[in-house]
Amino acid sequence: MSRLLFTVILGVIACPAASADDAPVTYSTHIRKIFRDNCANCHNTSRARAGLDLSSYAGVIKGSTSGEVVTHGDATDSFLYLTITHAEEPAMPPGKPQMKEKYLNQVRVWIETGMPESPKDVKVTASAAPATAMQPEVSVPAPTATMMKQAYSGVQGNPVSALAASADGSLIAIGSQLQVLLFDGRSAEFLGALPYPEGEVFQLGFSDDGSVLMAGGGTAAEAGNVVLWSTKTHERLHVVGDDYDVVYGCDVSPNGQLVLYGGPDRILKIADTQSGYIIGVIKKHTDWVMAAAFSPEGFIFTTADRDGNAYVFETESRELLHTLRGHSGCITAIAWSHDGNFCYTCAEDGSVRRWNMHTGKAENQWSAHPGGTLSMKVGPEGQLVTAGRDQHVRLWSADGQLVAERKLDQIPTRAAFAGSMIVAGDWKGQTRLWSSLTADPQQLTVPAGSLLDDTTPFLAEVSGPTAITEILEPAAAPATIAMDAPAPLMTLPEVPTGEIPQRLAAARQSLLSIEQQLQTGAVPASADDLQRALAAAAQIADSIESQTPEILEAQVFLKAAMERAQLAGRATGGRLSQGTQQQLKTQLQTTDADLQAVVAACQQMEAEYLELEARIAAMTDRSTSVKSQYISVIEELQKLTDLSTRLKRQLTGTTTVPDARPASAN
Amino acid sequence: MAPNPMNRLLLILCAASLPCEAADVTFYPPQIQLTGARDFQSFIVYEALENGLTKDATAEAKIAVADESIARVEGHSVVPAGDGSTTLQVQFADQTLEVPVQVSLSDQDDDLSFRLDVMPVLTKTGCNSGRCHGAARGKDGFRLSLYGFDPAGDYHRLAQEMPGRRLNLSRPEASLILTKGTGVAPHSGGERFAVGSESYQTLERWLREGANDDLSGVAEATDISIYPPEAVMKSKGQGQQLVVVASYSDGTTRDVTKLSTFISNNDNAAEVSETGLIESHNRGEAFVMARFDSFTEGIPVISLPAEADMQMEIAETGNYIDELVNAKLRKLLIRPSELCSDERFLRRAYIDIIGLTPTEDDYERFMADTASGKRARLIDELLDREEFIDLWAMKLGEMLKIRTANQVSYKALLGFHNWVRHQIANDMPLNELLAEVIRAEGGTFDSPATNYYQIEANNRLLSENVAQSFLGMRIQCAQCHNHPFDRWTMDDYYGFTAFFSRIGFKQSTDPREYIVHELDQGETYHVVDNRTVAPKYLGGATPETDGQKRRSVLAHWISDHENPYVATNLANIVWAHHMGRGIVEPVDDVRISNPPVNAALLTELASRFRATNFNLKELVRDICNSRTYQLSTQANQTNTEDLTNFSKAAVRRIRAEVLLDSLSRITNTSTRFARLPENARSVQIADGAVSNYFLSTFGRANRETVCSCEVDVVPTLSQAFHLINGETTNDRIEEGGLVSELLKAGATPPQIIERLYVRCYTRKPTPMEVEKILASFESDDLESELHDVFWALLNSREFLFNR
Repeated sequence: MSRLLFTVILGVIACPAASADDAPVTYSTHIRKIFRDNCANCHNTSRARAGLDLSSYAGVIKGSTSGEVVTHGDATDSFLYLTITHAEEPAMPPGKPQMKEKYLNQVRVWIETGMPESPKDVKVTASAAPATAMQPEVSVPAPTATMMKQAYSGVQGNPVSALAASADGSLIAIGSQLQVLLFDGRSAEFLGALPYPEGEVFQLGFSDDGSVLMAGGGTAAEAGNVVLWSTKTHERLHVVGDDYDVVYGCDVSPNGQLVLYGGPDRILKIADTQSGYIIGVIKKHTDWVMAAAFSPEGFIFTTADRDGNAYVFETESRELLHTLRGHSGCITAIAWSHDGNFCYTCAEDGSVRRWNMHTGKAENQWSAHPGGTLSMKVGPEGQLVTAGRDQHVRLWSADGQLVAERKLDQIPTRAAFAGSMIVAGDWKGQTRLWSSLTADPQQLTVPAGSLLDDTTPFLAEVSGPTAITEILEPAAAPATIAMDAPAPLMTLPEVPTGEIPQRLAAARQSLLSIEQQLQTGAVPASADDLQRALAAAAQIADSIESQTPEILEAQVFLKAAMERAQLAGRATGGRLSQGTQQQLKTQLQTTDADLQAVVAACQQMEAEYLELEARIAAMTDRSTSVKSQYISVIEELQKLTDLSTRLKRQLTGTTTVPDARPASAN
Repeated sequence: MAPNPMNRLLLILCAASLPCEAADVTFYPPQIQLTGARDFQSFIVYEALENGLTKDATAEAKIAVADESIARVEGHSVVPAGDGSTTLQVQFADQTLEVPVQVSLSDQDDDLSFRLDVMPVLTKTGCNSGRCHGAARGKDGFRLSLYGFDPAGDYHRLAQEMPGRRLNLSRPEASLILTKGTGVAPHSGGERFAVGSESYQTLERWLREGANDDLSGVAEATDISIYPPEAVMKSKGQGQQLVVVASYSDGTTRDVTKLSTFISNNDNAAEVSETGLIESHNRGEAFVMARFDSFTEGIPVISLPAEADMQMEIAETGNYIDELVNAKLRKLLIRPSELCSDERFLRRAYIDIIGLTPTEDDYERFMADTASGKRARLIDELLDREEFIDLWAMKLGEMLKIRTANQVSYKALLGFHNWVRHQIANDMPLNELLAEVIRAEGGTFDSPATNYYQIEANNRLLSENVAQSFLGMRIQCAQCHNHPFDRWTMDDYYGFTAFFSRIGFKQSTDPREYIVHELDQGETYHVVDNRTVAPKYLGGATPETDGQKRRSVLAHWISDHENPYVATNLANIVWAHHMGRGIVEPVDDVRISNPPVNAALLTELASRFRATNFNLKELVRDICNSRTYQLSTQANQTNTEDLTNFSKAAVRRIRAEVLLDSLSRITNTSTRFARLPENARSVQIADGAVSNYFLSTFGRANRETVCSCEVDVVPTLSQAFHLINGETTNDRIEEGGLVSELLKAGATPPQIIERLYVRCYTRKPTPMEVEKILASFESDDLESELHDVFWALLNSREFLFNR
């Protein structure tokens, strides 16, 4: 009777790691990771060889330019399976040994069981565990203290690859192998290491108030993401992005709502911090994205690449505002003046250039480090610190006058301000802190006793939110928006919202009357009535069941669309007037309210249905027992009638046709 | 040849520290020198059988070390144990050899060197090949120098260009260079080496040791030796392992077999594996090369079918040329063909020596001559003709690119051409002629050889042209990177170019004339680091050029009898002209990976050429008098497939100018060429830019480059159509009026046919041919019918080809 498995999706499902071998093989639990590790580098949304995109379920089903690559239920007919088992050319992945047997098996099982997308799509057989109503699949991050008291010793030997300090200089973060080292900016004391099992950190940044630390990095040619930690609890707050190579340039918007990042795939991505959805994609760079930075207010952002080009975009519309041309080598860093009027870039051509953000023109440039400038930050008074291949760290005024410099014994790779102090990390992994470049520095070293040679704790999977990769907007969306008529945001599915409650009400009425009748001991309702009531209830249940997924999907989609619309202020055709924007907003909100009502109604219906179901069950039970009692009474009566008739016959000595039996209740 | 018992005796007695090369068995390398704990030396035992076959006997030989505390044998390698000297006792069949072994610094296992250990791995695994990161712009932003010509730059790009990207010093196995090289990280280049392989271990160890660059003073490789010196293998599937040893500037040697790249230029005959194991396949010859660092060396490999008769002898003899040609043919078990007939020889000699087919009178005279040695006499006669000089003036004109160009007026050009012709006419030694061109100074009208520097003024192109035409070598590749298949490095390229970096030009009173002179300043800069490069002879020393004119110094080297390239190149060119194919082919592409098919022959030709003081006529005389030149084009059983070893004459299409001139003479017509007198022959055209439709279609060189490929004798459809439809045949037959003349003189059709045959084919027709032709006549218009016959003769292959 309880054929419905009514699932409520409260959040977005996190993808757990490869589960136990007896768990059903689904796309989200098993296959996605297999494809990501072995295939997605050549078959993803932005680079789809043969038109095949294996980075999403829809892409797998869609297939390649030659058609389907998976045949429902039949692995031996699925081209994808044939190529990965090397049964057909071209053998996949090319140039590498065949995938492990275990993974080939999982793919085969997955195809043969009908390619379920996630565990909720798996058909539950009768022998499975009894389905209980309301089985939510929710992933709630388990908060744990994740800062380690020991650091991986790999910090020594490799160049310091990222360095940042909070604005007041109280906290210094150093990017290193498998970890971010935290130091107290005042006492130079080692505080701990935040594990970064994703690989190496290449970009670090603190929020203005110092409460959030952002790190971008990954494993070369394999994976990259952006992680945000709370600097108080050291938990991972958000993980954004799942690129196929390291994230070199990343930044969080001043209001914390957006994460901007990019890397060797040359594509800029803008993601919503909370949900992780990528809401914007910009394909403008022609070489690796090496740096990205929001302006102090976050209205615009600058990104730069390995070819020496930098671009300035408007955050809301993602329109290209300026092209900053002039550098002749890889741009290594971007830094903003505090008033947002200027933006500085530095590059391997050794120069630092100051760009006017209103005109997009270079206002000033100077050669900071012959051989290449590797790092640059803006300090609290607008001064600049740079580090370069000529083994110097230099302090400059905002308009390029050299204030102080210091020669190091190694090439300094990163430099930053910690409050008004200067901190720099070098080629050999050493980091030093100066109150002034002319004074002697303090070393920021991890005490020998706190160094661990073993990488295992740093490679262990960290609990916390896992990265999302769904791109909400099609990847082909251009950075500039076409001047068309606004397209409808979406079409809502048809919901016979009026009908269902009425029918439910009617069903309830008839059931109530039957119940009443039973209670008053009246002639039991005909079995047909009960049947009919049951059938009606079942029908209603079916309707609800078939509508619900769409409704829920619509809800999720609308919610995201709303957010996106809010954030982007988006309307096709350029800027809309405030009034129109408001109108749209109201419309959206109204539609949302309607939908919310639908959802509420559905929820209500569900509750009511369940209640009715229970009642029908109870009534059926009762009527069954009443029925059986009634039948036994009838039978008794019948026996008595027979007896009395026989007696009567005997008494009168006549044979008469016995009376028709009274109709018995069935 | 029966085994010589004396050799056996000698062998047993031979126990000195000199490498013992017995008649049968040799051990390679001849001595073993191990330096450092990591060093090792692989070896082979090589057997040369009396019948000419060779065998790799390493597996059957018994090897023992006299003193195991100094060295040990592991598999087919010798490894160090302790410092000192000992010997290796090699026993095979009934022979014993002793090989000296020297071990030093046996306990030293220094850190790996970037240049000595890591760079060879990058080359061996193909990382820096031209298809991959060695390409001009690298791949996806990562560039390595092609085959490692720039170790300093490669170190920078690996370790410093992007800090933290390509190398990981605390977790070496996570370095991108390893994860991509093994295909663990997605890599378009695929898996270049496996995890745990020797290449992997070398790179990983270097990373663990800190991924350091070498401090200055790392030994450089000076050359490589490849063993054995040749292989003659019989059955299919026979193997021969190679050993490659590199010598270094610090006196050490090193087994680089596993670090070398091996190539065979004929996989059909013999293939070579990545580890240097040759395997024989079908009958044929191959040149198997090993490349390590900037050196390439190779060995000739011959593969003979199992059923070949190893006892074959070649009875035919001739002059020294034939001896050497036959020696090679014997190795291949190929017999040379028969001699060609007198008629064939007559036609061939005329075409090759004077560039014209014989006239009817020439034919009658030669065929009537019955005295012995008539062929030799004919050759002598032809060599004295003016046409011989014209032919070689044309060929030198192609080498010197004599052609009007923007700066070169016709007057200057004509002067140049006449000068060249004049020198040849006066039997000037060819090396002197070339040297004169090199050192030429003065006005382009009075000193015509200076026009060479007007035709081409760019110093890099000049050096490439001189190398290609005078020395036969294409050094163009080395402008941007070391030559992949030859020994030329960028240092060689820029060193040679430096000779041409001081040429100055002044305008003379006549605006068409320039004065070419030598400046006292002007340098050539190396493309990698912009340093000044001093003039250096190609493959030779760096001469003292201070206070001297650089081109004079170079001219001296060109004409020097010690110069190893000029004589060989010129001899090869002359040989190719007469044989249709050079001993090195193409003639201007001498390189290690394109070896001469008969090195002994080429060396001998060159040395005799020098001995006669670079006398062109003597060389031609020798070649044409050889039996090899006079062979028939008919193959015999053994040489049907041979196209390269001169076992039979090659069928060659006659070159454009000779064809046109012969056609003109046969039809009694002439062609008008710009700025030439009425009856000039096309061979006499001085200017490469002057041509006509016929000449261009038939492949005349236009002299825009010095490439020998400009002269094209490949038959094409255009040529066929032109002969069928064009004015050169039909119109000329009518215009010349030969047939009508003969008819008027009373000749009968059979007689005319005979005369036409002699003119065109240098032979008389067979009776059957005459009969068939006469039977084909459809009308009474004899002139027309005979014109058709004439036309048919001129369109036939027997006419167009030199056979």
